[in-house]
Order: sequence, then structure tokens, then C-alpha cells
Amino acid sequence: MFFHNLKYSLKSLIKNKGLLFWTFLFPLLMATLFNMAFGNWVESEKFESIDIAIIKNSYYEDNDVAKRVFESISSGEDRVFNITYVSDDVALKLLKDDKITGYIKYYDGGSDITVKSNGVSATIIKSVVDEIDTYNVMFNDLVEKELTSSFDIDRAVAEAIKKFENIQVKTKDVSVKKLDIAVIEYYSLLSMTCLYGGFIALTCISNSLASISSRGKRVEVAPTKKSVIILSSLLSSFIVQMIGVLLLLAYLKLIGVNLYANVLGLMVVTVLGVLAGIALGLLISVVNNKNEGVKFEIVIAVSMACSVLAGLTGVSLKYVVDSNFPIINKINPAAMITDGLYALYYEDISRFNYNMISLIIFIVVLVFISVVSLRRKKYDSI
Amino acid sequence: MTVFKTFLKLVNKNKGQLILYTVLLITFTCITISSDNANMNYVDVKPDVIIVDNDNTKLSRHLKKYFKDNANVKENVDNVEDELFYRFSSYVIYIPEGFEGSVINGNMKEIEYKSVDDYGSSLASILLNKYLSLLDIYNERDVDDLILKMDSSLKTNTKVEVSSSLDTDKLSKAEFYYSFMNYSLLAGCIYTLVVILSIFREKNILKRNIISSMNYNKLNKQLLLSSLLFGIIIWLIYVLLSFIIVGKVMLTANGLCIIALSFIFLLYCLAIGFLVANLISNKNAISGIINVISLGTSFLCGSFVRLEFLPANVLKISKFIPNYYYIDAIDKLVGIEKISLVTLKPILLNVVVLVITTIVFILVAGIISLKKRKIA
Repeated sequence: MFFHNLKYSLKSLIKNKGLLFWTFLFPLLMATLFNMAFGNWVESEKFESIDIAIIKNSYYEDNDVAKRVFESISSGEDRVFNITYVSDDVALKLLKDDKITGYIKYYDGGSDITVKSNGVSATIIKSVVDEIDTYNVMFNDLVEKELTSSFDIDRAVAEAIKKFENIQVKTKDVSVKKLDIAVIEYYSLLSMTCLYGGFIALTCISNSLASISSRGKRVEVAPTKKSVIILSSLLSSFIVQMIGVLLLLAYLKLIGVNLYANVLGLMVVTVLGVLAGIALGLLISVVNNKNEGVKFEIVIAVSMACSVLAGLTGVSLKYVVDSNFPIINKINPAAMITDGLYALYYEDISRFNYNMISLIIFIVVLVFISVVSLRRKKYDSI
Repeated sequence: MTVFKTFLKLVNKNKGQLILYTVLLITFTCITISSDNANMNYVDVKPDVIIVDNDNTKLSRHLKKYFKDNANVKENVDNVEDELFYRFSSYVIYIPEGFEGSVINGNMKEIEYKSVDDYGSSLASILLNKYLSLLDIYNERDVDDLILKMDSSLKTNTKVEVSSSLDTDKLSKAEFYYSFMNYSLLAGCIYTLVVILSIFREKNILKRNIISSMNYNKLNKQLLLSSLLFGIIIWLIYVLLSFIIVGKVMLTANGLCIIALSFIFLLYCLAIGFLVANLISNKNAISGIINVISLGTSFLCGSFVRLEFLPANVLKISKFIPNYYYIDAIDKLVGIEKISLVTLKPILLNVVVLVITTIVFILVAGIISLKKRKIA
């Protein structure tokens, strides 16, 4: 009887076009849109050399320190600036036409910067010019210092230049790995898809319970144990939803999205995530007596709220919630899934285990409440 | 009046979704645009930097002070990787134990850092390199003398002039708000019109309307006018909200042009809503279609991710979607120094595309509506 009901439960789910759209097609559509919109995200936030102009005049020509610094930071692959040397008028025109971020003009005893608007690029230009001014002052100090001992101006300048050329800055980049922020969007999408298992569970349970649908009345009147019907319905929900999630994972692979997660870990997260979604749908369908439409709206509202708090509509919100109201995401299944995947990204096993155990507790608690609500519900003959 | 009253009753019944779209618009605008600087004059941008001080000496504290003057410094952060990943900080500096001693001994210890490779981290890197270079050049043996010299050297402050007279910070807020409005207004209009018109097109209600004394064309016109009035009310609410969230900049010539443009976009949204309402006959498909249209066009046309950050091949597709011309026009309007007929010329094409599409959609919707009127 278990397999008989499982077969028909599967059949009825597969024939439900609306359900298939939200379970199978909608996540694929979102993945396509994410891929198109966020495909350039990491590249776009990367620092790119800033286009600037320097007014070519005698003050600049005489400023050895400025010339040396600008030369060194405008060459090579990691250059800070792309520099054009022009006259005042041309610089102004280039700025107006958005060809440059700003221009620098040296004059007797100092320099001025003109930028079109505020921003990080403008601050970077200012920092570099400030740095050059500092070096100029220091250079003169060094020359003066050398002169007090040697009285030879050429030697003093040569010594100062030598000191500047031998500046040793010892820094080391210890960044863990590429920080692909777009990946969290896909994690949230995956968690949303897992929670959509709630729709399927709700549909299945609605078809099986006499208090909800006419089909449920037919099912319950049959001489079959309620536990067999519920378990086979939930198994069919799990199978259909897992197909949906696997389809999404395959599609992500196909369009070249790297989830940075090992296969085993990914499977554990998705299986528990789908079970959490089904447990959520089961709970909502059995603990209230509203009609199926209202229950559907509750599942949509709960799963969307959970996904949004877990970062579906922007990673900032997840971090803000994690930092300021940690309890919310500690009981939010979507956040557990997203954070579990994030732990895989950073290969943080203890964080991964913590999230998976939280998911298991979530599932057990919800199923327990649902079972308690379902028990001993019998219909008297009237 | 009967039609109009029914229309309003149905809007009231289905206001939940509309409120949701409005809440989304307000929430995301407020989260994304948090700074409140009136930046007509030059203001330094401060990168977000985490400093882990394992030395805790005079010199390490001086380095922190230098960064506190030039950056937003965070200390004692529990999870550095999370801070970097979520871009709440862009640079981490680890001051090693014995740093001061190594500088005084003339053999400066290596400073480790983590970076997200963005503009903020590049700025932080420039600041750090500048500080360390000065330490190396001074090569002092006395830490107090060294700090004194560093302080006098780090005082330089070049004058910066901002050539644009536009309040770019506030205008970029307006740009974000009105770009996101692409989603809220479109989804809201399509949802409301599709739900309400589908009720009017239910077979029994349609039959009643056809046999009523009211001319069918008059009914259609009233529906169209009710939709327009509904759209204008929603648009006015959104414009009012923009004054509250974005501020007085909406009263500048650039701001008013953006508002005018959003009105043209409203007409486009209503037209597309009218068309979709006439095309859809399956009630169960409504939410799916609304999501596909509103989310699809919003993602592809720069409503959620700015146009300049979209890949080139996506932009090629976007140009076939009228929403692109609305967001592109906002982008252009924000950059116009002085609004005049000449400077507005590049936006004319965008407006023409939106107007023509609106007219075409209304005509097609009208034809479909006429065809659907026939009941076998």
C-alpha cells in the first residue's frame, strides 16, 4: 500500500503544473538572472587603474620626487594611475567629458587637485599627491642633513636619492582566497529552493487529509493506516523536491557557477535542507485549519522571509541580522543552509557541523509537533 | 462610477502585494544608501579597515591613530573572514609582536594584510605603504623622536577642488531609488491590473457586463481610466516617499526630470499590465508570469545591479527591453550638469522608446480585448 500511494502521490505532483513551475522552473530562472546580473560583480568591484591628467609645466618638470613617484606608480600591471600629460584647457575638457577622474597641477610651492566629484578614486589621487608632498619635505630635510656633514650639494642630493630608492616596505598578502561575494546569492537561492519543498509537502498532505480536501476525504476513508499515507506522501515530496534541487545544481554547473563546495558536503546540506522545507510544509499544513490557499500563502511568506533574512536579496542583510540579532538566523532554516554552504566555502568543518546539527534539530522539532497534531484525529460517523 | 468603485474595492482587497513591493523599495533604498553627506565640497572617503595589534606599543598605537584619522578602523573583530566576505571591511592589518622593536633596530618586521582587492583596499594599501615608507626613511632609534617626525610629515593636505556643482551623493541616492522603483512599480501595476481585470473577465461577470445597458467600449474606457488613476496614486505615493528618503535634491532640475521620467515609465507599466491582463486567461499562472516579467526585466536592465556593472553581452540583450531605456535615462540625467533642451537631447531617444512601446502595448491590448469579447 505504501508504494501504491507513493506512486499516485508522485503522479499527482508531477501533473501539478503550478507546483512544477515554482519547484523546477522558477529556481532555474532565478539562477539565470543571477548569472547574468552578477556575472561581472567580482570584476566590477576590483580596483582598476585611475585615469588622471597632470598639467605639464615647469613646476612639475622641476619636481623630481613627483616625477619619480608618478612614473613608478603608472607603470606595470598593478599601476595605480593611467597618466596623460596635458595643458590646463585640455585637462579641463577631459574632466568634463569624463575621460579622467581628476587632474593635478603643480605650482610654485605646492599642488592642486581638481576632480569632478567625490569618491574613492578622488581620495586615492589626493593620498598619492599628499604622499609626494611629504616625500618632498623629507627629501629637502635629508639633503640639508647631508649638507651639514659634507657641504657637497651634489653628494647630498645623491645620498638622499639613494635613500629614497632603497625604501623597503615589508608587507605580505595573507588573504585566504578569492572572495566571490556573488556565491552567497546562489547559496540563498539553493536554500530558497530547498524550502520550496514546503509547497510540495503541503500539496501532498492536503491531498491526504480529510479536513483539508475532498481528495483527502477519499484517501482517509480507505482502509489504510494514516501513517502509511503520510509517510508515502512525504517521501514523494522529498523525491520531487530533490529532483528540483539536483536540477538546479546541474544547471548551475552547466552555466559555470562555482559553488566552492565539496560534493559530499553539498549533498548533506541539500538533503537536510529539503527535509527542513518538507517539515515546514508539514507543520503548516497540520497545525491550522485554514483552507489550502491560506496555507500556501503562509508557506510562501515564511520561506521568503527566511530566504531574505539569509541573504537572498542582498548579502548585507544576512550579516546585519547575524551581527545584531543572531537568534533570528540561529532558528532560520534558510540561514542554516546558507551558512552551512558558506562553511564549506571556507572549509570550516565545525561551523558546517553546527549548522547541520541545527537543521536536524529544526526538522525533528517540526516533525514532532506535526505528529502530535496528527495523532488521534478521527472522524465520527454522523 | 460603478466600474470605478468596484475597481477600488478590488484594489483594496489585493493591497497586500502592493504593500510588499513598497516595503521592498523602502527597505532596500534605506539599506543601500546610508551615507548622508552633502558633498558639494571635497570630502575624503574613508576605507573600512580592521587592525589586529599584536604589539601594543607606542608605535603600533601611533599606526592605529594614523589609520583612525584616515579610515574607519575596527578592532577586536571576532570573525575577520566574515567581515571581508560581506565587504563590511576591505582591508585587515596585522601588526606583529615586536614591531616597534624591529623598527628601532633598523630591521622592520613584515606586516601581514588581507585585502578584498577593491578600491577601498587599494586606498588602505596606499596609506599603509606611505606610513611604512616614512618609518623606513627616518630610520630613527628613538621611538618618541620617530613619532614626532612622523606626525610632522603626515600633516600634508593638498587642496582638492570639486568641479561639478551637482550634489552627486544625493543624486546617486535618487538614482538608486528610482531605478529600484522599476521593479516595485512594474510588479505592482502588473499584479493589480492582472488580478482585477481577470475578475472582470471571468465568464459570468463578462456575460453580465456585455448584456448590461453600459456600452462595452465605455466599460473598457472606464477600466482604463480607473487603472490610470490607480497608477497615478501609487506613483504619487512613491514620489512622496522619494522626497522623504532622498531629500530636497528631488526639487532640483535633475530631480524633477527624474520624477517626470518616472511618470512616463508609469504609463509604460500600466500599458504592459493591461496587455498581460488581456493575454493571461489562466489564473494560476498569474504570479509566475508577474515574477518572470518584473524580476527578469529588473535584473537585466540595471534595476538591482547598476548598468555599468552588467556584463557587455547582458547589456546587448537589455537594449531590446524598454525598461533599459528608463534606467539608462535616469543614469544620464544624474550626470547632467545643467539641464537644458540641448543637454536633455540624449534622453529624448529613451523617452521616445518608452512612449512608442506604451502606445503599441495599449493598441495590442485593445485588439486582444475586442477578440476576447466574443463568447461562443
